[in-house]
Amino acid sequence: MWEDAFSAAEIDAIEQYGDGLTQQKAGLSGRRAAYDNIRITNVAWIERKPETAWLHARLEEIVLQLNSQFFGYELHGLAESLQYTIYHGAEGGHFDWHRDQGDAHEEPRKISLSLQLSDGSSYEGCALELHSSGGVQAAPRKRGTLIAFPSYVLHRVTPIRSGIRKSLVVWAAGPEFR
Amino acid sequence: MSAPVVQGPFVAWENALSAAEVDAITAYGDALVHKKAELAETRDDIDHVRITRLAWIEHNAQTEQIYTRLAGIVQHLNTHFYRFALTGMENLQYAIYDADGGGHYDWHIDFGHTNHKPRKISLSVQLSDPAEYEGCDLQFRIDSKIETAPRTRGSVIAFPSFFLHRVTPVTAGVRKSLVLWATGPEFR
Repeated sequence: MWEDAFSAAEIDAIEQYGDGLTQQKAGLSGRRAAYDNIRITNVAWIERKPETAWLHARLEEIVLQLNSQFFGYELHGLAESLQYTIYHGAEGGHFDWHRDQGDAHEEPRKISLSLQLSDGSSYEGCALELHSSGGVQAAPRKRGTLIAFPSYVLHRVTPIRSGIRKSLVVWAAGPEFR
Repeated sequence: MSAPVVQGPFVAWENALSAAEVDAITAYGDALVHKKAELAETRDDIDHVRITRLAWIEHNAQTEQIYTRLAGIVQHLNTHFYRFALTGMENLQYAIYDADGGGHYDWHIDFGHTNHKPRKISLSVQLSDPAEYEGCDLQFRIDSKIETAPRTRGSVIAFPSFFLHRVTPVTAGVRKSLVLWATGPEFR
């Protein structure tokens, strides 16, 4: 957990950029059938462009630092684009237990990062919870907090009851664990 | 002996061990002194998390054969499914779940920083006939569904040690299992 990994001004800039993108309902890798019981999330992809170069650079720096301090994984860089993620109270947004590793991706995701863009008081429910030994642990809800965990850790986002929660989800990828 | 098959979170190898091999392990394991299992972290509510009777089967002349056999199984599974860097095996854990004692083990992972060397592949060998007990399923959760391992005597169930798993409460009888971990350098 990294509190205040980003300043309020930086978070504002991310939100402003993300809100201007076209959002789509998120799918699930490898599934075509109905999956609303598993996931209801709106996402937009923040691609690497001149206007987002600063954000990618900041995140790369953060991943490098966290990896050398805590994980020690072989990484090739950030996977795919950055996922701007929105859970709407009105839609019952949620995402049931899952891992980010998956096999649909070209390169395995190894570290998952979630940057809290909304303030915890602006919505109800919608807790990011991680499940490992010792039970379920909820991530802090403070705006600007960054959570990083190995992508094999089981996690979920509980149903949102009111308001809107926005977060930025990022993965660092590399060769298969060995 | 059938072939190992990937079943979601785990690889199941039914009849990996013969009835005679399982008999030999059980005879050896039953003769050891069993102790109540502890957790890596001391906590007051341990019974809420785990109730298991354990004995450690050490590597010695008497157990050489079973160690060699299991090392071969680990090597085969690693070559075909995991390709992790491995350097060895911990002592074998003979684990008994008694219905009388309320045996169970709540959701956990085997991979942690308390181990001297990281556990990378976990294996569980079914030593009891499924007719001898009720409940006591080895289960995995890596997404919204829970997957249950086969119960056949002589089956080996292998999985990466970072996958969440549990043993549900045994409601009748006794289930015996052999648990082992292949270890190696930290995942990278």
